[in-house]
Amino acid sequence: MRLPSGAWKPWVDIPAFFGLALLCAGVSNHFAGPTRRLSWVSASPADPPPALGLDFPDPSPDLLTRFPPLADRPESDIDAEAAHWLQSHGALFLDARRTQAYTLGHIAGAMGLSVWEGGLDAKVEQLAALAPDLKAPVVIYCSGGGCTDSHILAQKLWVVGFKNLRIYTGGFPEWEARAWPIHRGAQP
Amino acid sequence: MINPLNGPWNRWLPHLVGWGLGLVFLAAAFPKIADPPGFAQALHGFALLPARILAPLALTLPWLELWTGLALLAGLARRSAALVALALMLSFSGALGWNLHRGHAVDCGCFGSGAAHTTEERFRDMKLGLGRNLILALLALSLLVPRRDGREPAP
Repeated sequence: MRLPSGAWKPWVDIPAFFGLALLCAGVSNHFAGPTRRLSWVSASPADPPPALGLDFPDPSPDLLTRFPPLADRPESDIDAEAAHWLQSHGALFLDARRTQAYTLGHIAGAMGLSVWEGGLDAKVEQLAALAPDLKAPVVIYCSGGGCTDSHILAQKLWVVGFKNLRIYTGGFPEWEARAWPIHRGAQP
Repeated sequence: MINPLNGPWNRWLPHLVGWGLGLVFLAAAFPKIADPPGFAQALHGFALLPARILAPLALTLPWLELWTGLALLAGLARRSAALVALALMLSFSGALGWNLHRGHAVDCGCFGSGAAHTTEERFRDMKLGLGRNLILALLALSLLVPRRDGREPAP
């Protein structure tokens, strides 16, 4: 039976909406810049190896004494004083916020590793391959105030073998409020 | 006595509602299309969805909003677009309402990711967003129901 012309055909219209949306999403993501691109799946082998531009800090021998590897859990929270001590003694700091926030200001020496921008899994694997000691403390922070990005990054780092992950819960806002060293720009 | 709802106003009302709803959807879509990672981050904050679908949803949903808005503005497939709009508004309302119920403050992300807010600001924005979404859902519903004169809405 033929429907009268102009009859409502949601079984045609709605799949067309979804199809157009999917097509546009694929095309726009393909041409998006690195800070705007998302991986359709968690780990995409099509992502090119990223250039992390790593320059690991020179850690103090006291780091492992005061902050030994965690035996029973992937991560542990630390407060501002502990974070400041670790930063002044050469621990690796990772900033889990968006690249734009990182560029505007980050803890001095911290490397930006946004959990919401493309290529994260490849960057994490490269970090694990280049790190001189997976048992050395690594401090991860984000925006404080209940921000969970640092915990997401910690989980990914733990999976690739990092054994000593410390979450600085106060994050960049607390560090900046205490007028401790910060850098601006794309480099640590 | 002249009933204003029986005049030309009644004929134009669905168009006005469609245009208004379409503009709202376009305004909501553009910032999210421009920043999919920001929208993915906002979706994660709702703590309702499995992590593996966040990226596909963050990429596709804004474009669905865009096409829905364009269809409403152009008056093409208006009832289907209204149905999609209604489903989206009810979904967003449900997500906001559930997080309000469990006392979990989130950044809505409805019109793109904005500056960080305090917890009190987030709860206030969630309540405003819930009210706004319910009104938009009612407007979308009005495009689906038969008119007062018994005529079916335009397809």
